[in-house]
Amino acid sequence: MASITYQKMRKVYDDGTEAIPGMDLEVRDGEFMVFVGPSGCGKSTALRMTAGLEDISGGRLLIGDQVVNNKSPQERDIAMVFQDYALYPHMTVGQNMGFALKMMRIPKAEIRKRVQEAADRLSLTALLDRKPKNLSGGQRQRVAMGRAIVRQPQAFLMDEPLSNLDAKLRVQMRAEIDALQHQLGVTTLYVTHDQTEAMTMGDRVAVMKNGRIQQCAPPQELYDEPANVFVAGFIGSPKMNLFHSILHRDDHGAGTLQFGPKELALSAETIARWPGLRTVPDGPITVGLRPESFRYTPDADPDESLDVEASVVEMLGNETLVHFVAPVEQASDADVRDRAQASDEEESILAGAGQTIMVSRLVPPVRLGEGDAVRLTLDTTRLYLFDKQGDAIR
Amino acid sequence: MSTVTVPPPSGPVLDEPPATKRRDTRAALIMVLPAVILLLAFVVVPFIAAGWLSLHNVRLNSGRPATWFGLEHYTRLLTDPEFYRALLNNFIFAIIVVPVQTGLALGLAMLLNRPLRGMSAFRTFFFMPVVFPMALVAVIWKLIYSRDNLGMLNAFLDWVSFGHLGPYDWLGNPATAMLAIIILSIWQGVGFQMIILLAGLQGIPASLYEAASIDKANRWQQFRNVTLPGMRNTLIFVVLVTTIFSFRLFDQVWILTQGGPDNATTTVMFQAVTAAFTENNVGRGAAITVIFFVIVLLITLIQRRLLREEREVS
Amino acid sequence: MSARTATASTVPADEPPVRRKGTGPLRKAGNYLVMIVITLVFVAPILYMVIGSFKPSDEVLNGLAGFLPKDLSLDNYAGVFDRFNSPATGYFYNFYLTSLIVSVVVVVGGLVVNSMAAYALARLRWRGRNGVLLAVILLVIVPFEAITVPLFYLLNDYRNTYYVQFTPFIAQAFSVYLFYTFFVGLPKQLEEAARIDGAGPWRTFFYIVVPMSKPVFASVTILTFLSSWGAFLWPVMMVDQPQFRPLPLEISVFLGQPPTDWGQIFAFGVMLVLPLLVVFLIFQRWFIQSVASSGLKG
Repeated sequence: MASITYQKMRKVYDDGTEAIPGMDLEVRDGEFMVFVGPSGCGKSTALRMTAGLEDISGGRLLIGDQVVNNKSPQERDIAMVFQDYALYPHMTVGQNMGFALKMMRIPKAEIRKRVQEAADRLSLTALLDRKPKNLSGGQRQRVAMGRAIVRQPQAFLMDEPLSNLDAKLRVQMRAEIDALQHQLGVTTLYVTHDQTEAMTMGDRVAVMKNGRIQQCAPPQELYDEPANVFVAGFIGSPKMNLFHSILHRDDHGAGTLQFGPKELALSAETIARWPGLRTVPDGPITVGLRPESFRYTPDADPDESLDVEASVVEMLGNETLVHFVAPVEQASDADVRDRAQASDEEESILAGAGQTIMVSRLVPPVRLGEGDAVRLTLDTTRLYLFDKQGDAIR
Repeated sequence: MSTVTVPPPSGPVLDEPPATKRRDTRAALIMVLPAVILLLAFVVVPFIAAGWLSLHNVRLNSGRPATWFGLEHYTRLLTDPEFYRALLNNFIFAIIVVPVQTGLALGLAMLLNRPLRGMSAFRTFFFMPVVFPMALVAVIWKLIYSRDNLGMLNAFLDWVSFGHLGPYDWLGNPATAMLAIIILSIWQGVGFQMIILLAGLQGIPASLYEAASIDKANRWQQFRNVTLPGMRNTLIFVVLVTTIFSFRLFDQVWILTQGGPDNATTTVMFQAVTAAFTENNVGRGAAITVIFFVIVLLITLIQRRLLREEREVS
Repeated sequence: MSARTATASTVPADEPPVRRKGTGPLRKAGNYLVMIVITLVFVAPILYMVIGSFKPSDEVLNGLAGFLPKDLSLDNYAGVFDRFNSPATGYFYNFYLTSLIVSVVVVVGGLVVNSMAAYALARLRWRGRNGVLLAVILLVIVPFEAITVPLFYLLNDYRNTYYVQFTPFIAQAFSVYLFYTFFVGLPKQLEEAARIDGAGPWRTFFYIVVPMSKPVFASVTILTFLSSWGAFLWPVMMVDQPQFRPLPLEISVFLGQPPTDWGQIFAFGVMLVLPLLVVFLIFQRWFIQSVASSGLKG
């Protein structure tokens, strides 16, 4: 049994900073769990605590059904892949991979067998006698993986293992790691700051912020049903458009959402799709629109569509991304802003007060130029609604 | 929401200190123990003993126990013209050797810092005297300083000046004895400083010199405005180490002049050893070493202060 | 240098290369001359000794003619061995053996003791670590001369032995400090990976840290060997029997023993310095690098 269970696990540093106030999570045996979040969210800290490289200040950590708080890394039977691979420079690939087995005093013949198997699986057989400095980045990464596989541990821990590779290699390695994990069936904890990686690789993804898990769910669920504004803004690229609005309902159950000078009409059936709205009073509300909820409708009725001016147009071949200024106040979680993406800077330059740059995704692609007038229609059934605290309204 | 809720733990939530810390402690203590024991026994204990001994009248092998002497050793030392002569000699040595040797070392380092062929061979030769133990250096130079015309130095001066200069009794003449020791010490020591300064020079990026020459700075100005500031910390370190070495002066004096003639070359350490070893006055010898340590400490503290100022400014 | 005049008619086919000031052949020769002269100043006394070691005494102390390779023979070397032929004078192999034993124990013992202590200070977590570290750094300031006299007093009963010449010098605060700064600079991840691979502090140290620390081990070896082989002050105070005299002390005694045979003294000197020179010439790069880096750390 190699599940990993966190029970109110806490981390407080010597100077009093509370990195992780209390984490509760159960990672099932054989599951591929991804911790994702902006830098400083605590994902690496949590991983290192699992490995035993950081002390646990409170709560319990169980591997299988054993409490391992007091166990040293050596005793926890876990293998780790570091961001910088941490290959021993004075040993060959074969020796690197066999080192842990040597520490376990496994007989030489068995070591050789296991190293050979892992090397074959990772196409490293030809490189067994080389030293790390004579390997490419991708090869080193595979050796780091091989070192972990050979251990046949209870769990794999991976700390941003792909961030030092170039984009193309990253995509390839993602698929390889995923396939490997499914073949071996070993419980895996994977830390990354890249939400694309998280979405493509995990069985479940735990989105973290400020040391807390905001939501832990399979990727599609995170996308379709984000628990709060932070998760909504973090998952998905381009980001979800989030803005402040005001909700009005009439006596018939229909309603409107303010969109700058315009109002978006919501029919009663549409409103009924959010049962949680019943407990939410009229008034300020945060609304999220994914870029793909816009449609290019140049011939639509002006009263039922949005007329905007395209400020940036990105033609990507299969789709067109149109950035435009919307007359609404942006809503975002402060940490989402911290992702420091170019669009944020764009917003600060191009948008003034009370305005937001929104991104729409038009499929099939449309030929447009900057400054063009664009008429877009919104699919109001695909809104995301959030209350004053930023939590999703269901 | 799909966060899995885990039932709260049944017992009290544990807060034990992680086992890793305990394990490290055992290994760490074993690893550190030999060095700690040896340093305690052979550095800390004698260090404290120096203070104790300096306050007592102590003789070896005399059967009589050590008697309390208070600050008597110190008062005697501080009113002893011979001791002052020793201090003066050390200071003279420092005042001459530190700038001269450092200047020479810097000059040599700058000569070696050029991209000419064969520089590493020259570097080897310039450094070679450092490899020679001072005792051996003293022996060789004893011959060189020989007082008649058979001595190498006298013969050389005689040849170079067509017979006008010399012969000089370098080691026997109070006026020249210290100078003779200074010269051989510089000969042996300059290579060491040169290597350190060379490393410091090579740490100054070439682009600074290029910028300076574009700003029309000549060689001297470049030296003053690029080289010297860039070398500040290294120079301070080298000056500190050489100054401290100046007060440790012993081997050459013991072999060549035994402090003479007429105390012209007596030094602090020479007197410490003479007092303790030759005259069996251990208390006095200890007092001298205490004074020596205070001097060294002062010099070190002054250097730290100078370095800290630099860090604040930059 | 001559600038090209932009006349269309006559275009010279070749131009003399533009030369920066100061690299003409005359200047170059001048540079090398200066360097050679300086080299001579450094090498002359060494040359004097080496040449003199092959000459009879009165050809050595002979003014400038001391440099002349005249009447060369190995007599002096044989003479040194012959001269030290009794327990009273001591035997030459004894002097060498003493220097060798003392130096080897100080160097090897020092490498083991000081590196382990430095690793515990640099990488392991234990109570009292900061205190011990501070103490070691403070001890670096204490020069040997400050404790020579009290050590002499305390160890008086152990005069004339090998171990009084090596034991006090095995642990060196400065060596610990050199190891410490090096270990602290190693990437922590490698040691973390070793821990996860199942290596405890000891095995991490021996299998991972030590193999990666060759530069600092070489530095400490060279610096310690240099100071140990040339030790003089301590033997002066602690050794009077010829059997336990190291080479530097003995050469000073030799100097004062009539009849003074300069050729033999120089031969003795050559044999004294030979191991140092050999080690120096072989490990030059390490040697010079270690001296420089110990300076920059100050």
